[in-house]
Amino acid sequence: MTSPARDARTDAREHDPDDFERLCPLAELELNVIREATVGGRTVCVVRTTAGVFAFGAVCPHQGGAMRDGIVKGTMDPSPRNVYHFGHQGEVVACPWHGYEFDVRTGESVCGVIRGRVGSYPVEVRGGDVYCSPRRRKPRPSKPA
Amino acid sequence: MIYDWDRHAAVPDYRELFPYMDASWAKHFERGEFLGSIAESSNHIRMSVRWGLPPVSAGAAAEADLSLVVPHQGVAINGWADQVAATVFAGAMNSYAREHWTADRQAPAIVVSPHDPAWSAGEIRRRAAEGGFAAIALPFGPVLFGSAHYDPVYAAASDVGLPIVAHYSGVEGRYAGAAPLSGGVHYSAFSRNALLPHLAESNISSLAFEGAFERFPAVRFLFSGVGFSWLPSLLWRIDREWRTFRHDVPWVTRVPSSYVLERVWVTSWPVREATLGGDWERLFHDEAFRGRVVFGSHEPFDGDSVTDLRDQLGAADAAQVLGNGEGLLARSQAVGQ
Repeated sequence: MTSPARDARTDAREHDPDDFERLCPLAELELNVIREATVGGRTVCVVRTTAGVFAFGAVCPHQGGAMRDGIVKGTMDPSPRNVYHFGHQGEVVACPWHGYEFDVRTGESVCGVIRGRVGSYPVEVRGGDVYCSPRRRKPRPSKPA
Repeated sequence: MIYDWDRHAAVPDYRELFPYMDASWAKHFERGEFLGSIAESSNHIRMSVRWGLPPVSAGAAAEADLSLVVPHQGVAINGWADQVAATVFAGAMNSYAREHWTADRQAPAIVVSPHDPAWSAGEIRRRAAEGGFAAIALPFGPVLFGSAHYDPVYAAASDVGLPIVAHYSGVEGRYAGAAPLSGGVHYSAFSRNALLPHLAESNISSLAFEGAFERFPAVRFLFSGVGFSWLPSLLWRIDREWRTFRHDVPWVTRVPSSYVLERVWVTSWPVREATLGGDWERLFHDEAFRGRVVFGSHEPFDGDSVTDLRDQLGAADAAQVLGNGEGLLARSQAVGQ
């Protein structure tokens, strides 16, 4: 499984800070309300959750659902039958069309439900404003079988 | 190699089982209403044109390197009201089967009871220790196969390395003790017969979503006599549900079809159901699906011969299906448990 919190592997500081673009004041981002923004000429989704501020792709890789209409949530970790371990609140976004879950930190499909991923973009908060890099994070290298 | 995983054998007269059970139980079974009513329906209850005729057996397939014998009279205990008597009957049937239906290229299945998992687990271990059996015949009960109810059966199956074979008895959808069919109770025996794939679809879905494949990674299942053309669409549907609702079944840690495509097989009878309109080529072009279909003649109940299989599927695909049964052979050592 892609564990939403622990598998975040890249950090905004890995990117050239010069390519970050200012999006909006942090105060304008309502909690768990996804909004679209343009960064480097492409549309991305930006959201402030209880886990932080994140930017991810605007289109679900499954069938093209608009991620701006997605739901910010947590999810269940793998567990024995009839046992639930809920966690990762604010670290998961679900597509509005089929409910596929994506890790907002990495863009990867939670638990590998599908192979595709939404884009994931580094975000920084500087002086009360939200900045986003247009450089999409690279996917994690595939693990050997 | 050729494997026929669905052949049937019957006790010609139920009184032949009496030497294999306690004498007092034999007196219990000696009653006319038992011998009369059950002997009447030996040829697959209401599932054969031979219904009411003397019991028939197929014996080993001439071309097959191994034939699995399903004692269908024993499988019919899923409809019995007296579940204690059912275990006595099944135990006697297993003793009879070992003595009469075990040969070089033929092996019977151990009949167990879906109503009594503890007894069934003990019976599996006893019979496996005796040797001569190639599978475990688990009749369709009212509790679906994914339930923890069957955990003792699966633990025993894992230990002895024999596959679970689920073949209908003919009372499903009719007798209260057996599995119902989807939708309701059918008036017609022919409706029930046509809809028997429900049994396999329901139980495969249950195995997947209730985490049984995760709990018992060494157990293999064969759904027998219930067709196969429904398998690709079923797997697409259960995968779709999982992709959307994985968080509701977090014990299913990977796409459900992946378990099925590793550990579940289906028999080929009736092979014609997938050869109309090119369905075989269309639905089973993928090796992942084609590899799940094993030859099951269903003899002596108007089944398919090896020649039928070759005529319908072509020589190359028939050869694969005839050999696919190798995946169900007994494992000398259990894996993963």
